[in-house]
Amino acid sequence: MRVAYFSPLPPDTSGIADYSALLLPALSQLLDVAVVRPGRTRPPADADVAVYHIGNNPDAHGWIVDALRRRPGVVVLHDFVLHHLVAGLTIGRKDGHAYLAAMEREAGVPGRLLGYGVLEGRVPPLWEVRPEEFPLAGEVLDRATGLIVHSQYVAARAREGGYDGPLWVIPHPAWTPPDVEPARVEGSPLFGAFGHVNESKRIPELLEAFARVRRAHPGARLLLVGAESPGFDLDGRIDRLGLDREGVIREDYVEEERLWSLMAACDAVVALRAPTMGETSGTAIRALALGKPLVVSDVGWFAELPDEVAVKVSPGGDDEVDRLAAALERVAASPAMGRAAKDYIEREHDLETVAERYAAALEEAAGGSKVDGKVLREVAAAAADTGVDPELLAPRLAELGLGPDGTGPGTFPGPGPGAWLGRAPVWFWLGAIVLVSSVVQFLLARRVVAPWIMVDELVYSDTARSFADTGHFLIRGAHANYGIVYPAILAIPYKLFDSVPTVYGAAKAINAVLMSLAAVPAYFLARRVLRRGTALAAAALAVVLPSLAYAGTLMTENAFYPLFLCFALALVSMLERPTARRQLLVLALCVILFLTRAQAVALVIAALTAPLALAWIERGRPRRLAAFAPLYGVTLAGGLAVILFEVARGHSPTAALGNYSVTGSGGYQAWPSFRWLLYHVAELDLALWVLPFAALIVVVATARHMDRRLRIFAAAAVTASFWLVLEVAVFASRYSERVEERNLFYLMPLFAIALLAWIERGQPRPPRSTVAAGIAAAVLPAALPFSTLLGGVSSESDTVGLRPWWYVRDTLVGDATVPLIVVLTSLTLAAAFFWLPRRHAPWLPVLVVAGFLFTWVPLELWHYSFRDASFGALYQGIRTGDRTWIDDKVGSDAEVAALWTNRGNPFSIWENEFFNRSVKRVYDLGAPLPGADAMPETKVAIDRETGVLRTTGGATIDARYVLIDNSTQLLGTPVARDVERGMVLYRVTPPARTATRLVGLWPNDTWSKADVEWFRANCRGGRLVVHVHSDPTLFPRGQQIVAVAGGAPMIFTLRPHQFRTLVVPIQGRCDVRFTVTPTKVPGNGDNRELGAHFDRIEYRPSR
Amino acid sequence: MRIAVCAPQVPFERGGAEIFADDLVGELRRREHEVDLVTVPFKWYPGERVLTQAFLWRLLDLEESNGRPIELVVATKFPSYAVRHPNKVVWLLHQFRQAWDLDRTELGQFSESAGDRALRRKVLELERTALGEAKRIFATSRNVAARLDASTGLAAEIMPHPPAPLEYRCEGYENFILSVNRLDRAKRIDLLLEAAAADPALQIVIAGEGPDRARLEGIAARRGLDGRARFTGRVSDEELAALYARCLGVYYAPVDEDFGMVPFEAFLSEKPVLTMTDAGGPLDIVRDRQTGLVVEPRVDELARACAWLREHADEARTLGRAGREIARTVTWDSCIDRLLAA
Repeated sequence: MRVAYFSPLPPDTSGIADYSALLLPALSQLLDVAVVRPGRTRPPADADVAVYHIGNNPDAHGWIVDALRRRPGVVVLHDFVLHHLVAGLTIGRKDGHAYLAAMEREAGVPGRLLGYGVLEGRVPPLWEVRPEEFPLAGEVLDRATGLIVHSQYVAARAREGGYDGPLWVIPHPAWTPPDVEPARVEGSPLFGAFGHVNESKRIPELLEAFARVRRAHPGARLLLVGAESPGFDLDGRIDRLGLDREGVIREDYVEEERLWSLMAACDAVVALRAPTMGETSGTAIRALALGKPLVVSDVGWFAELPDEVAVKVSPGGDDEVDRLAAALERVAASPAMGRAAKDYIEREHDLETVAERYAAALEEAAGGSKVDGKVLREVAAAAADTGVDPELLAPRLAELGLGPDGTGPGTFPGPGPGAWLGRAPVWFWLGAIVLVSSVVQFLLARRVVAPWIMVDELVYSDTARSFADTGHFLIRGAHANYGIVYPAILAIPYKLFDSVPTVYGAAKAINAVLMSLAAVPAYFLARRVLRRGTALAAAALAVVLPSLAYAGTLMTENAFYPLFLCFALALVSMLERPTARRQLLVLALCVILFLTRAQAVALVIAALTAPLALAWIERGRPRRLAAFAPLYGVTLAGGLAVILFEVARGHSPTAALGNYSVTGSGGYQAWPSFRWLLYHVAELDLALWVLPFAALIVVVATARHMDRRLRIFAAAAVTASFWLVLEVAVFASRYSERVEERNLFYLMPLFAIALLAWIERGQPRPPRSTVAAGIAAAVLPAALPFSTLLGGVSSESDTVGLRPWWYVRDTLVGDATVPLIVVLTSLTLAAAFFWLPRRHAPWLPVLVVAGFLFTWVPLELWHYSFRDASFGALYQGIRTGDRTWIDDKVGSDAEVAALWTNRGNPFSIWENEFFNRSVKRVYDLGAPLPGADAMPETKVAIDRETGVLRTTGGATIDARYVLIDNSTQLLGTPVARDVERGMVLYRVTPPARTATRLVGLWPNDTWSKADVEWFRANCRGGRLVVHVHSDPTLFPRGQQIVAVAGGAPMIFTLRPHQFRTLVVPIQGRCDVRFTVTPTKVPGNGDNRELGAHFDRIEYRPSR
Repeated sequence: MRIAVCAPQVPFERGGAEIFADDLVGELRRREHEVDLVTVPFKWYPGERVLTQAFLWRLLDLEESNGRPIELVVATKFPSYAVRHPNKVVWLLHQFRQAWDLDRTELGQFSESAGDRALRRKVLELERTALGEAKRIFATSRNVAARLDASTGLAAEIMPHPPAPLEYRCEGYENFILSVNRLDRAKRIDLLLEAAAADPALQIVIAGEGPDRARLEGIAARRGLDGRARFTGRVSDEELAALYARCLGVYYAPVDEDFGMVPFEAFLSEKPVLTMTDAGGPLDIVRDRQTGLVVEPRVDELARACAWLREHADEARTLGRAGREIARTVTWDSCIDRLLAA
């Protein structure tokens, strides 16, 4: 095992350098020690653990703290008071703020204020005057993964300071005294005091006490070895005490050998200290090793010396000098103490023993938690198998020195059932899941040939195209009020490629990757409550949801899904530890999600209520909610700001919802809302194949008795699900009247994780909640009105989970039986939830996956598949065989205006607009396209005089090309045609003008409506020849056609079997109107109001 | 008294420790105590299993059984002493030596990885905790006690295991040295063969079976010891007693052995024991020139000692009888008295 060793070393003269020089050879016998060169802060890469020797001197230890900041490790705390060190690291590096922060951390706001005083020079440096009141050890303790100290005193202070990691008290090792002659120093007895001569070593008190001793024992001498602190005035003090020069012997700083020699000459050594910084005295250790009894202050480490080797004098008080003098006399008269000192040092401070204890501590620090984890896992698995909450075992494990203190959650990490997975790192598996899913989803998405969810797909693709081309989010040139995140992503292929089919393919590839990336947050979310292998299974489940089929559509769901799971992960981590940063992260994700889909508003509410849910689950301590102040504060402030902004703009506050602002206008009713809520919950249950749904209910109901991580997960999952389902259901009750599973499938991984967590915790089945959950999950699907929900394009696009039942109804059983089949299925699944024995538990997720597969199959292969829907859309829109026929003809940079005449099929506008970048604007002649509220278009009318197309404002269409169906001919040259769809592309000389126009025939038919109008621009006089016939079965009594062509009306009768040619002379403008009577709706699926067959119309100009 | 004797069991293996536990149970029963052997299968690898297996013992409840209290628990070997009981006495045969003296040797189990190092520390910590709870610890030899002290700082009283109840007797001092031991390398029977090769007058009988037999017989063949070195294989109790009764002395010199029955058995047959200075446990009772001969672990020294015995049969008798006086004190009565007094 390799240890990176950070310490000052000789030639540095500090006590800690001496300490390490002593310890290192012995430690190297036991461990592979890599001594880090002083000043280098990067530990050797292959070190298993790093050990940092930290004392109070910034020059000697500053770099070691820097290294500790880079990599946490075991700290050897030689002093508890680190104020001088911290001052050096902060003020000494011109970082006063850091000093203030350290002071505030230590002593709150008063500490900070005091720090200001120091920085401004109004308060004397605290590290000089009263460091012991502000030890400032917090940061070092925070970063320590283990702590080695030399005394119980420092151990206790570290614990008081909030350190709760592993801690070892290891005595200071003792030097073997060198073989030196005692120095020839007079004195009987001779007392020695070594080290700096100053007040904190209590030299003034010592001098005074010694003066008294000397009066009784004239032969006594005091040997003072060490540098005198500036301003101490030793000579003056000696004089004032009336001590003669002979009494006190002075030596300045001495080399090691001389030190030993002088010490050996002493009868006793005095090592006083007040205040103590928690330090251990190398002098005292040396003296004891030489068999010299000690006189020490009764503080810190010194107080822990046994009485038989040291006489202790508590510092302070009027009688300190008296007590000190008595101690000196006593120690001089106790030769037995010297022998005891030697024994004690050999027993307690033996270098080998100390090194062994270091090795034990470092080995434990390096590998202990790993071993703990493995043992705990095995034991916990056994406990779980026997139905015990594994966490209860932790205290007993701790008793045997195993495991952490056993209280915290997450004590049982690591792989369980899927231990074989452990051979490869997690990123490998996760990467594999994302990669495989991306490839599969892309291959499936490629089968989709054209956008078909209209106009949604067009909204996002148009916005993306605009962002790529102009940098603005516009639709058909008008401001788009939709989420910008997904269009911004889609803009990338629009920017990169010119050909729209290429763009479309790349967009679906991006979708496949985005959707598949959901596995990553799903894994980390699952990892909060699951073992590694199971969490990977959860990640895989997240990408086998049938809703991943949306990767084949240009819908915001693709971006919202992975982002939502990131939000759920952030929410859980915020509940675990509500730091301000985590709370802000949750809110930031809410904003990003809102910019993706406005429905994220519900998630803000979820974030706000999740702490309440957790408090409820944990039954209380609302005090804890105070920790969420940033969350509530920022949301309140942000909400107010949005409202003020909208009001200041003169809008309703709901305008912030963009195009969905209408949803904020109310008008929701209780009963429909409730009904649709029920439908949504039931459909979610069914789409999840019952088991995960039941599991989440049980998990939430029993969360109180579960581990904290699961409680948190339950709180997050239940709030997110509740608000999202409520929001979507209420919206659906008023605006769409369909089950919008499309807006809810994001929640499914939460349910899947709940199922796996329930299984992993041994399937707890408390009777009441299990029965309630099982019954609810089994019976809810019966509430669904299948006859109305199955079928139609909206259920095709929005309710993926019902596809298998739709399939079953249409191909197998029929309308009446399908609810029965659904309920039988859900009852079967609920029965598995109730009764499946534990050893078969892995079958439960397998059943769910099988259900997903059963959903996927019709989704991909049946005629109501996404693929067939897209073929249908393309077929209705373009039949040239070449989706880019317009761009191919005129180039994608050209300006093409599409004109909707309300004849023909809207898809012929939409698909051409999507696949051809040259189609930039859409106009309508009278009736708007469906979905016009989302896709702005310009209304135009025909100027009766000139045939010029004009908007209500009088503007003309100035594009060089116009796309229009063949009901209206324009003045210009047809340059391309979609013959089967009846679409013609004209090159015109702007402004665009109509040539002829025929209104009032049913699309793709000769049948007329009641009124027919023929119009030709720039034309006067002549005749209109119209070939008509009737239908004897519809009109057995014949019909009448009235024609008005500027003059008196002309009346033609049409007998039942007659084919007739009407010749209508035109006076003035070429504008003829026909009215057919009677008309009839034939029924039998044809609801058109039919007039007569207008077989052919010819204009003959006057000669 | 209701007593539970706790010993681990390695399934399908049976050795001295298992015999020891059975003997203890039998002897206690003979003294009309209500005794049962409590055992749990033991597997000490890989890795952390050593701890989880120790754990099993920790989970046992031996404070009472079927409504009646168990007054005493006697545990023998790692990890059986992890069992909890207010009146737990340990008669220590073995700690988990891989974590202590065998660590970093060929026989060790823990690698230099951080995980293994920490695991070893935890085993030691577990031993400290589990043994520290015992009311008294008896060690079967000084060696075991010393190791216990060094590894855990706990003190143990020495209490050897009494020898098996054979028909011990002395029928003379014939010219052969007897080796009674399992035939494996650590028992150093090859040294005795080499000594016979060096001293043409030396005859030896090697009783016992083991994995090293083929190698040892090879040595004997190569050195031309035919007729002077006899391998008996496994022998019956009667045959063993007879061999003890007739031999000149008994060779018993494993490396750093914890305890051994052989010296006691030799002594009860009034035979001196030949052993070596690094033999560990046997040195507790085999003292040079007092109860046997203790030599440096070298062939020539051993050959010389054998020759000396051959030439001093009277001395051999004196040494053997001195040994008998020691061995006679090691009886089940005295051991059980000490155990129950705890």
